[in-house]
Amino acid sequence: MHISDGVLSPGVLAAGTILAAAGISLGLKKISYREISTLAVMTSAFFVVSLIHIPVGPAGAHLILNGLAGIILGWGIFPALFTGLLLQALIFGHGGITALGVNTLNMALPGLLCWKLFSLIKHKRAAGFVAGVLSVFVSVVLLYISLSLSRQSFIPAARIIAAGHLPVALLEGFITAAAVSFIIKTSPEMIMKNNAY
Amino acid sequence: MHIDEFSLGDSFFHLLDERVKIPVFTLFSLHVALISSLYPLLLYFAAAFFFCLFSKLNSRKVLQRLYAVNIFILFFWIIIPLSFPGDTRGGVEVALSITLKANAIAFFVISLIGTSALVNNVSALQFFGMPGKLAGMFYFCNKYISVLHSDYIKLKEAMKMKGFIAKTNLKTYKTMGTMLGVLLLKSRIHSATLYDAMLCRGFKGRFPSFLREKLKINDIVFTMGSAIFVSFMLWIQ
Repeated sequence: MHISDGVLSPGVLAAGTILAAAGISLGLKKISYREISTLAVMTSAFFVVSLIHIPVGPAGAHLILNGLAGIILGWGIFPALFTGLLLQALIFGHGGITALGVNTLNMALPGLLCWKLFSLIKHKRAAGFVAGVLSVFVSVVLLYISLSLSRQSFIPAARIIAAGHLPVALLEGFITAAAVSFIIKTSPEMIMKNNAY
Repeated sequence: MHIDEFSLGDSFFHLLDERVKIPVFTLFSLHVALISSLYPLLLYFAAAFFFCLFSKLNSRKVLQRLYAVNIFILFFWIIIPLSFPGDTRGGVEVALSITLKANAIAFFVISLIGTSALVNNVSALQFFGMPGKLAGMFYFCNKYISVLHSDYIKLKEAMKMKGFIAKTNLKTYKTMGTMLGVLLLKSRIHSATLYDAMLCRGFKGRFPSFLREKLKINDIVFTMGSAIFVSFMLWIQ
């Protein structure tokens, strides 16, 4: 899901960086210093979980969880994902530093969409499933767009990457649904009062 | 998991000030990302490689990092030459340019960013105008990633004790989802403690800076050398 350095064209890099910067500054504006501590610790939790390897048939997948992050963090997802992705690039070399804006945008925007969607659906577990599937699906679409806009010859590769992520979308749906139903039972205020951000 | 794994050492790059290393890194990596011809890219790659060499780092750890960087690129090597419109040569050139760019930037990340601790880098970014809230995110994540990682290890052990084995089925996914919920709950508890601790220390919306004191002669020499190098690259390009 992370695009590495050297792949994207200057135009795509610039557009992604500008839009991501706008999202991050909006996100930061909506958060008080009091909430920064919560946002940062939750970002750390998502960071740790994204490293877990989960079996999907013969292969395995790493969770993205931008749907759940969107539901819980709201606008805070932009600074959260920016921090998480930059640290992943610095610590593990996953994803490029110059592509950071594009990667942040590709994952944060669908999460934000799921946040809006989640409040519209009454049945919260179903809403969790929809958010989990949709967030990954939209991210994959954005990834496809960023690659194919950069270079025509990337389209076959982008198609294969997109197809490979479809089972991951389903997996994220199940996991997000389970996490949402657990959170609703134990501390509903975590997702019910997310308008705070 | 160790965040500052390359930051200890006494090489030339470890002793440079972050306020010098970060702008040089930004300039180099932006130029590398924007270059389209192979010859200047090769020069940048060579420079980046020597930077990394002079940082005197554990070569096994550096190789591990390069492995992670190149996995994504390997995929392009398989797909692009096969599917490139026209001839294979063009496809190979594209794949080669991606590889050189990504690896050059990875070497720069290791030698210019990795050789400082995260808190020092963030302080330098604050010096250049990064918002305090964003800096706070990095300071807290620096600590809490390892805290939550050890929480996760404990949960994993507990699940193992109860006979949990991860397989491809709904039960596994449901259990993983619940475990994630527990981890998020724990993070809420940690964040309440963290905020109380901030209040106890008299937090008023400003994070202290972890900058070194003054720029030294080696910082100035390095900046000038880098500026000359970039102008040369712009010229031959």
